[in-house]
Amino acid sequence: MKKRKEMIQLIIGIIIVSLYLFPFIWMVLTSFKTQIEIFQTPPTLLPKEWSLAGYQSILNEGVLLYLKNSLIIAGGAALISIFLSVPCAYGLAKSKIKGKSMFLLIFLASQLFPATVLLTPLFLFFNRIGILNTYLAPILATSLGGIPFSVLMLRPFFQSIPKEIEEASTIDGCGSFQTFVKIILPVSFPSIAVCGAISFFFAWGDLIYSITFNRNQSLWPMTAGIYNAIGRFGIQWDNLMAFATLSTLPVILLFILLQKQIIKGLTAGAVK
Amino acid sequence: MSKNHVISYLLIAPAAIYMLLFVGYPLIYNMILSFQNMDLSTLNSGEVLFVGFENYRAIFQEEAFHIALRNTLVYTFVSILFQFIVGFLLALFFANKFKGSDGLRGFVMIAWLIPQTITALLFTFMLGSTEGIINQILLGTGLINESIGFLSNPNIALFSIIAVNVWIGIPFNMLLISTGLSNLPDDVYEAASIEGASNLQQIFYITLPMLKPVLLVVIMLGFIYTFKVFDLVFIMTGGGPINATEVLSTVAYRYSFVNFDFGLGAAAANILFIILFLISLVYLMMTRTEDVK
Amino acid sequence: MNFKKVLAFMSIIFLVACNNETATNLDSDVTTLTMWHYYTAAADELSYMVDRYNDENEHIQVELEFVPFDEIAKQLSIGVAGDVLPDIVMIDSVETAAFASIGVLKDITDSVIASGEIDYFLPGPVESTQVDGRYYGIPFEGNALALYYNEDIFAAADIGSVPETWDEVLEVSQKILDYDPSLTPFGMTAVRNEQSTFQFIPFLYSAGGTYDNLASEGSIKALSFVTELMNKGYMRQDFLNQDQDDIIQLFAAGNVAMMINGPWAIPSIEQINFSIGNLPKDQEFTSVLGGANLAVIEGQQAEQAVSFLEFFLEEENVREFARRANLLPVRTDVLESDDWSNDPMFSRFIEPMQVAVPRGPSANWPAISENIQLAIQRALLGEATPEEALQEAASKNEDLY
Repeated sequence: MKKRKEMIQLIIGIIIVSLYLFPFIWMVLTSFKTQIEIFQTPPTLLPKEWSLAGYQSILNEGVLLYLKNSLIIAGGAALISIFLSVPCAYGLAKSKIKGKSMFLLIFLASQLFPATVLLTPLFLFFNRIGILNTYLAPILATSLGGIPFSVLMLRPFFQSIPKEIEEASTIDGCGSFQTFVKIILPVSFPSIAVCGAISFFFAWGDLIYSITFNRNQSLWPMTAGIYNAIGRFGIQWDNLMAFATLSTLPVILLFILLQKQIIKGLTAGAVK
Repeated sequence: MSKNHVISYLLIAPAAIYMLLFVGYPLIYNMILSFQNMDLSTLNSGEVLFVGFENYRAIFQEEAFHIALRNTLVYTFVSILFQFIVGFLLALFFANKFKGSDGLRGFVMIAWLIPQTITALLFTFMLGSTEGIINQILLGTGLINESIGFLSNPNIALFSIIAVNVWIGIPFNMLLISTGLSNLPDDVYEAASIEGASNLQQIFYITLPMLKPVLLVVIMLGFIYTFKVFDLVFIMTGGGPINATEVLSTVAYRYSFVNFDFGLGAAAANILFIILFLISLVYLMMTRTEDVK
Repeated sequence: MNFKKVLAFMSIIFLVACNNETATNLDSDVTTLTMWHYYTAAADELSYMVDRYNDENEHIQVELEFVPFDEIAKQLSIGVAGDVLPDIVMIDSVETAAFASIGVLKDITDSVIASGEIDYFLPGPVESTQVDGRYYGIPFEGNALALYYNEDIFAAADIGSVPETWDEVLEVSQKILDYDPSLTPFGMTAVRNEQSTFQFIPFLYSAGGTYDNLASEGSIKALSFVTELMNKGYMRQDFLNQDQDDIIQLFAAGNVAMMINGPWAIPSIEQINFSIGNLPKDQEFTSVLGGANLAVIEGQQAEQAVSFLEFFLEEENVREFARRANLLPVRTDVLESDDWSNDPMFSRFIEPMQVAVPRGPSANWPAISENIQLAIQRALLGEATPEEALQEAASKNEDLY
């Protein structure tokens, strides 16, 4: 009886998710069609002939290089986010200093501009410190999105860690730093994973920072590489969809790998 | 200062200084720029002057600005509302923990993981004209007789973009609510059931309040993030037709990078900033009361 | 544990990133110039020409940097603010005047006149490089708009000849609709950016209007015509959100019978049996100029950059590049030579190029154009009559002319 109920729920679930993900499915299917078939009316669902032309074309254009760049930039942003956010969130959670609100305000305030507004001043700044045309420029710029989110999410988590655990380890003779590394960190790995992953995802989608700070196209991430498919004289839709599909796969893979950790990490933050 | 205080500052400072540096500088730059008359011609003649609130006055007189402000508010509120509702419903559904529910929930995340510029291009492609797949399906099933101008009809265009934004935002809301739900202690629910509370009542009086901290963060950040939307609107409609989908960030962009009136663009961006700043203050006040509890 | 490995992996990547250095030019005898361009389709051919230049010139080496078309103006303005600019820039003909007027582009009048070549160039493109009679760039690529039409649809709808006047367009459009109501007879973009102004200008000028006299009778007549096309169903409302590229796709799929577009459309519509004619006229045949100029940025290496420009003033180089890249050349002598006048498709663009008017040129073109775009959209949506829409645009543009 219960099994039947589960079966029904599963079927309903599959239907709902398939409908919801239809645009994504459409994108992947289109990437295997020829340019001509894409604009046919009435449109076809499955490709009449499965064409790899889009994928071949973008492989020739160096999509693997763009993939590597995306990994570097998003990875770098995630690392910075973790190294800065974790201690900060811990400090904000545990400390008794005044002015915590002010720090929170700083983090929130940093989110209040759209990227296009930050472009010129950041460009000037990065130019002055000489990091234009390097990976560092987009890494730093995209990390600005992940850090505040991480701090705000991790803080309640650290607050929820029972004091008894820390006190117990102090009694055992550990210094506070040791406490932090040996006890707090392992417990917090899932939450840290969340912040790293989300910072990674934010940075993965960046386009404008790379284009503005890095004239050197060999440093461009996948999102920027799309411009090769959008010529001035017409969009190569099969290329574009192939590019789009490839841009999405790595983040999906990463999410699947880390799914358990991410969910654990978010769980902890919900309970005070 | 006690040793503990020093350690606290050492922990917090790096991140704070980092953010101050990389955002503080743009903030000040933008603030100053908004009070100047910097555009292409003044850059040439070198006569960039301070003009006080002139830029702000000019903006407030523009019809496009008021439309943009209204659009931005509508866009944000409706997006957040529906993202939340649908995300919540999905979270409830998957909380049934049937076989395969974890996997399916993972699949749902795909919508959120796709880079937004790509999603924008994809939906522009799907919603376009008679040949777009959405119109084709609607026409094919006989639901409509004429294709709908999802992005070209000024009355619908903004809501089409909102729909896309909701599509993007549902998974994240769902995920957070899901994990919150799964972590709630069962005994509270059991007690409530014994007392005779219905499922719906349980949701409202137990689940939601216990989820409040997470929900606050998610809605707050979601609000900020949605309010400053740029890519989605710019790629799908460019703010058109006429001004129908113009939002604050596209207006600012247009002033700065299309008309090259940098002072005006900076002022528009600042208005956006100030509105969000005020809202952030409200959020902080709300979490302060949480801390006190 | 999974996560530790991921963390280690990312740390390695991060270290790699930090050590990434850009190459430095060690040879001080050679001047390296950077040039911004926005070609994707013709990028290889441009590269070829630049390589040739580099081979022929020991002391000057040019490096190309790709900047997406929509980004060039924006990145230039950021570069101006940050004082980080290329030496040479490919800039859309319409934006040249704006950047010249802020002093970013070098006045190269003397070199241009000294070369003796400029007289061979088409007058429209040349005009787009000038501000107050001084040269701030050289024409590099030119294009114009013409009327594409689907021969098969015309035959099936029993249309004998390509429409040449506005009235004929109305007649032909109705015939097409009668033949097959699911077709869109006339494809013209009305999108919320420069492209709609671009496509409207020929109609404006053909009726005797001008960009700085938008409230004139001719101007109103032009907008009324386009509005009529929309109201009678010959154009789709969707064109308010679809640009020239989108319409090319529709034409290629056989859903649009006629379209206004430039020579770049040709490679994308090979499966259609199409022909090209002049843009339909009210009084005179006209067209509008698009294209790119090359300009030198004021700065330390400006002198050397100018000599690179001179390379592209020479007839044989203009010819070779245009031929390789399958583009229209901007020199009259090359354009009218066999290579193009014998090509069945490209030759149809010769006359439009010759009668094409430039947009502006004006340093305030972006703002002027924006008001025109708004007027077009208002009229097409029925929010205002063509007269009202244009009067509003005219008054908003008054200070900008």
